[in-house]
Amino acid sequence: MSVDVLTAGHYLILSAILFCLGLTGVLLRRNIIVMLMSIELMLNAVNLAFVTFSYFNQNIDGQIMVLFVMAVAAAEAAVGLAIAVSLYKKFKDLNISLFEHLRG
Amino acid sequence: MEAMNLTELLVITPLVALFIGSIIPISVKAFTGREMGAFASLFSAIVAVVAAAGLNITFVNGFWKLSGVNFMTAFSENLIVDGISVWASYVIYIVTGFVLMLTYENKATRGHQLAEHIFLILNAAIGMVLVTMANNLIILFLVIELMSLSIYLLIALSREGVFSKEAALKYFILGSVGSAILLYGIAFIYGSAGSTVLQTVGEAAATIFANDKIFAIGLALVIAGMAFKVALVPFHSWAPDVYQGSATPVTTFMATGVKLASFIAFLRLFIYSQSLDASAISTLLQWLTVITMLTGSIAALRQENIKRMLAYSSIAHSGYAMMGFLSASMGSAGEGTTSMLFYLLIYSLMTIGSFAVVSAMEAKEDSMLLIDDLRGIAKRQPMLAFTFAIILLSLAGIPPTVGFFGKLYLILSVIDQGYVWVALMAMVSSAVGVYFYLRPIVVMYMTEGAFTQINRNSYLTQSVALVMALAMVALGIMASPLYNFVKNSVFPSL
Repeated sequence: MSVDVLTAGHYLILSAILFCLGLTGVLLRRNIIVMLMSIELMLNAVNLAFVTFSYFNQNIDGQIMVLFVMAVAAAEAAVGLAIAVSLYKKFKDLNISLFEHLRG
Repeated sequence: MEAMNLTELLVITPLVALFIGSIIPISVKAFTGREMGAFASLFSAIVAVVAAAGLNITFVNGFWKLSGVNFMTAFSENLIVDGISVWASYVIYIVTGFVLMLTYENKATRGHQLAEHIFLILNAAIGMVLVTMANNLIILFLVIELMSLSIYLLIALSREGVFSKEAALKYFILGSVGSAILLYGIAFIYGSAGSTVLQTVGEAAATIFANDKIFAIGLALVIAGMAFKVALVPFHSWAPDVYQGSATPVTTFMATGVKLASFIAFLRLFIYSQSLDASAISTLLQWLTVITMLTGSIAALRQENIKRMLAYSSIAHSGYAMMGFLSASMGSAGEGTTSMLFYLLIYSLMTIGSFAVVSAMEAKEDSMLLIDDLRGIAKRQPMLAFTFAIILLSLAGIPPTVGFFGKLYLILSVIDQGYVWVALMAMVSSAVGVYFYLRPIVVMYMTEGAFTQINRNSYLTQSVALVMALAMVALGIMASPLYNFVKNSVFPSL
């Protein structure tokens, strides 16, 4: 199967599947590190959509955006891991079921 | 692309001033190994904010007067400086200044990390000002992240160990999901419109919307992402937890600056697409407005914790501000936008006042104030009780205060657009609101008790609260001139 057979639709469906997997991961998994990985997966799904649109519309903007999004994702991971480290120091565990002090 | 000219650089000098102010205390700490004096740090930060406002007056308003224009774009049309963004940036400078004062005195934020707090607060302020100027969807995403990442760290910096860390985690996870949804929407809009410049997208919106399903999906995702940021029901579930768990000055910043900036960005997404005549979107926005108002008010009824109650009230106020948004995006750009920005200004002032009172009553870094803790405050701290009472009356929208006029203009603007049922629901929600805003007043003045919770070193915080309470009454008397002033600032005539 050559590349030409694949249309924009195929890539967009793949990106939608990846995005939903990421979203499900954030909503269902209990470990903070896995949740951070799921957020990265969501951002990467978005990157795939950007590159797809960029390629099929013959418009370079989308690929530039991917670079920005990758930089932001790295910054977000840095902040998320910093928060995870400070939580681990405090609670000695990273399971979110420990964090139920705020409710009502 | 033309070369960068001097005007573009002058337009962003206020942000440069804020950035320089933000790095002074932290560089002193890094190079000398000792923290600058707390008051010196606060002073340098406030000077930076005042300088930013001054530079804005000189280089934006002054330039407009001289050259007879009333808006300009900068950096290849990626930033737009118009009445809305200039007005919003002044409100953000005011909010930032007061938040810095609260930070200086609050037990949970004062201490050996004041330099980091100042760095993050001023950088979040830079993010907020840029959010109001963003004219390109990808710039919008970048600056929303600048603002949000600073706020995540600010929450986690609190000296209180359990609640603030949990709040930081919840806000980080849900905020990142919100940003990812927003970005996915931006990708779809880019894919169907072929551009991310807001004006280009907005002008083409009507034709694309009719022909391309992808654009509709993108628009829905962007609305959902922005609804996360401004805490509209059903995307509000993070707000009460995060507002309750964060240190009070940070909560103030989130409830005012972040909400204001996100609302402006949300408005800018819709203001160019006036030709977009989509009854589906209008229905969606009406329901978001009504559900947000009612859920916020009804959930606030059964709260015992004051900060949590104020968090739900802030959700209800998002709903009220959405009324202005609704009429602004569905035809009445003038009155709708003005009433929304007028309301966001007075909502910010009321919120600063109410959280300043809470901050002044936090004796320890892990204080969790309940409404019952207010017993006897009228005898022990008559000034603070009086201040809180006036601010609560303004939040409830009782006539002599400006809170009433804010709601009045919003309700008039939606009635003008024919959404009478939204106006009726707003009145129902306000009526419910009166009950839970009056409850603390009743506890303060009509029950006996020994009030003990007070932060002894909170003269600045208490003065901020008093100034806000007086402003509520003074602005209430001058509501109509203030409204016209907002209108002339937002839509400057040539």
